[in-house]
Amino acid sequence: MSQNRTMKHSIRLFALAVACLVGFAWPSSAGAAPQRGEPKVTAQLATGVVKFGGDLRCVVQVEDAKHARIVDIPEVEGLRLERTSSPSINSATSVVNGRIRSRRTVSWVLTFRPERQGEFLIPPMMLEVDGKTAFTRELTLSVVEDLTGEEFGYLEFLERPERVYEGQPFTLRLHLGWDRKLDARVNYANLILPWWNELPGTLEVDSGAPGVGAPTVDLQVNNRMRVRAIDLGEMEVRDTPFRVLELRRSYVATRSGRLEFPQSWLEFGQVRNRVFSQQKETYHVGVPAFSLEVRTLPEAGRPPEFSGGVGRFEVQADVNRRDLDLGESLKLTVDWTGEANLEFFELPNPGRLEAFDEFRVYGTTNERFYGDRRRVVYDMAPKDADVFEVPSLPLVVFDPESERYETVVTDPIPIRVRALEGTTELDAEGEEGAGYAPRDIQTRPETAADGSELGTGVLVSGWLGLPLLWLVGRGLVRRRGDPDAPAARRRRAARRRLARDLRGARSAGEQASALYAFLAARSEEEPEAWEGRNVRAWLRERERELPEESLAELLAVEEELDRRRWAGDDAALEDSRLVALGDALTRGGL
Amino acid sequence: MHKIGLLLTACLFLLASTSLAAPQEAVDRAAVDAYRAGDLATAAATWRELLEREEPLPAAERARLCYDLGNCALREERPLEAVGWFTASLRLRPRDADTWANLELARLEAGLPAADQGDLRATWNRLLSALTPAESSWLALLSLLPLAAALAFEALRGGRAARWLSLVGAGVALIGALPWLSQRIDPRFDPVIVIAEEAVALRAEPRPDAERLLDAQPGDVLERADALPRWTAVELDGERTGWLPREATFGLNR
Repeated sequence: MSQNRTMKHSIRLFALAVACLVGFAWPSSAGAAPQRGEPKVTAQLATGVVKFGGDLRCVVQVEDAKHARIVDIPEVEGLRLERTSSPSINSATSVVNGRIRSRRTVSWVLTFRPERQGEFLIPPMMLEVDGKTAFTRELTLSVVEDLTGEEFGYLEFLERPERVYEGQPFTLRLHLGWDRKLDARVNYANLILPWWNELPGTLEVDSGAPGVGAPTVDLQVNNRMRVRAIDLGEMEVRDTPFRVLELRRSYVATRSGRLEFPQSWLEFGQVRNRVFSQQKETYHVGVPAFSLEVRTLPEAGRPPEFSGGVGRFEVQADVNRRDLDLGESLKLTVDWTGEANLEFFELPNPGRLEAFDEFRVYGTTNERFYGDRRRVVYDMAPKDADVFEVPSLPLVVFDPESERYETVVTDPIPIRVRALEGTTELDAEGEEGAGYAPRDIQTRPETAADGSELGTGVLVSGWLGLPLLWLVGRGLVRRRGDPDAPAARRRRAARRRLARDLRGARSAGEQASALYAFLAARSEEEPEAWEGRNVRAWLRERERELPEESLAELLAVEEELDRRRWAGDDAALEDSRLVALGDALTRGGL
Repeated sequence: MHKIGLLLTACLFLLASTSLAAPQEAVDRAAVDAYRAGDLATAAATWRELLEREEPLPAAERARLCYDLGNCALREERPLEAVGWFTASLRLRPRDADTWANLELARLEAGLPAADQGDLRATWNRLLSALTPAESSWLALLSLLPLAAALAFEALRGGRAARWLSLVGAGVALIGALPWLSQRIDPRFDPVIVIAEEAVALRAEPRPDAERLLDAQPGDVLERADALPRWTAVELDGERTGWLPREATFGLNR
């Protein structure tokens, strides 16, 4: 417990330091993940490659919106819009994690007819969704005279589940390639996948990075983006050596229904870039469209504590210490792995489980998703010295293979809890362990009177009045000149400089120089101006006055310094006399 | 003659004040004795009576009574009510270590997350709420002093150093005003805490069969908008209000 407190204190100190540094720049913890229930707009072509003369269908779909309509379909030169279907509305209600959720999908089918061959770019279409403007993504399309080259190319989905359940992750593995004999001539490959980034009702999840050292190549998709594919090298396809690449994409299905995958194409061949043009000699190979059924999780047999986890789960648990004193906390680390929606299930709360009644559960100290596993660290402390194990932690999930709800449990972990030395009978009888007793009541009456709160007006006046006062004062001061000008600064520093110069002066001549420097700084002139000056005449001329005693002392000091310099032994006067003269002249208004 | 009059007035004032304070102390003593004897109901009733007396007690004393009432609730195994009392106490006396300790214990007992999670956000919030409104207003005013001195220096002397000092002074003034500003930005005039053991429905009208708007969770702090003998109205989003059963809420203004 004390360790916990020390750690908490350290964290707090660190947090305070950071808080002071960042000030108002509060780092937002809001993630960039899309919020569930926000309208989603997609547009999907039936195929990315079409033979000249044929029609092309495009499905525009809006999910989770009350009202939606197409506002503008941009015109594309060479691509005629034949017709737009009336909107088709599909509503469904599902129960996820005990919450009822309704989904509404509006879709339109647009039919285009190409009027020429070549590459087409269909700009984003504008829609109005719940009063706001939304756009589809840009779509690309190739219109070719003939689709040839199937014998030279290879495109196949290796893993393609027939059906999945809501919440179940699935991976698409696409193998593509071309005849090894053509390898030297192939400098261009483009995958035309109309479903890429346009799969309504799914969330894309991490499909796992290629293994370390696995050769990879950058591959073009839909003429505009590049993705990393694994280079599998040479493989036998249809009894012929082919160069084969692999592309993976993983999704989690978020709603029941059918997921449509339009026809996919691989375009490969040679592209020669000329100065003003590009010559393309390519082949096409495709795989037919297919669909995937997403099933609703069965209501029958669903336990109330179902976590939302779907898939094949495995779990491991460990604790940071197995021998501890009563009152000390222990960290239970649980790792869930497997082909499952690890990112999305609700964590079990041991604090609400009867099996953990003998533990005080403080919550989680760490919770992370590492791509292939979800790790959670629970902080808890046994309440009693009789506790001998950390019980199993259950997680209720749905297994799509057995099509049943199952409970995945951790193994119990044996521990030893030692009673604290010196624990009294009273402590042992008490319900709370050492360190958990409430602090006693406060019996001494508080006599401190209430402080009066200042009104908002006072503080606002202070905040506004202070700058105003400053501006006024600054203006008044600067009427007499800039106080930061070199002459003004020299004038203020004259007294200090006189004292310093006099400390270093060894003769009457040096003292006279120091005195003239002082007088010059105060009168904002050069020191030479004071050599042999008739001070009375100068004061009259400037219409200034000095106290008579100060003036007389100045004249006397000047005379004495001159006498010693020119007629005597140049011996120095007492410093204090000159400093006193300087003070008197300053006070007198020089 | 005049001096004698003044002296008499002072004596009378002193007598009056001690005659008011003495019974209160005696009542408090009796409550403490009852608590020590294990008669928690009597202790709680006595402290509650002191707290609800017509002549208002100083804030620090009300905070102490709330704290003691929280201890009674905690010992009577009503941790959610104890959370309410300790939270109310901290609103009056935000830096009392005993109250913080017991609040966290009560929240733990009630199955609520810790009031101070120890993370950056919680630390920042605790820093901003560590002062009472009066203290924060005085801090905001006093933190203007370095700025005033720096601005005076700048007006009289000018120069880069004076300008930098003014900027530093403005920074100090801003930091000093933060607690006061945060209390003004998020004012809680009449907050209540939900002390139902499970989520309780917020209804559109004060009827058990009225439309259910939302669920209020145990430990939620909401702003009271209205009250009926059996229902409390709370603000939902600044525009709408929802009704909760009165016994599910605990007023934090004490």
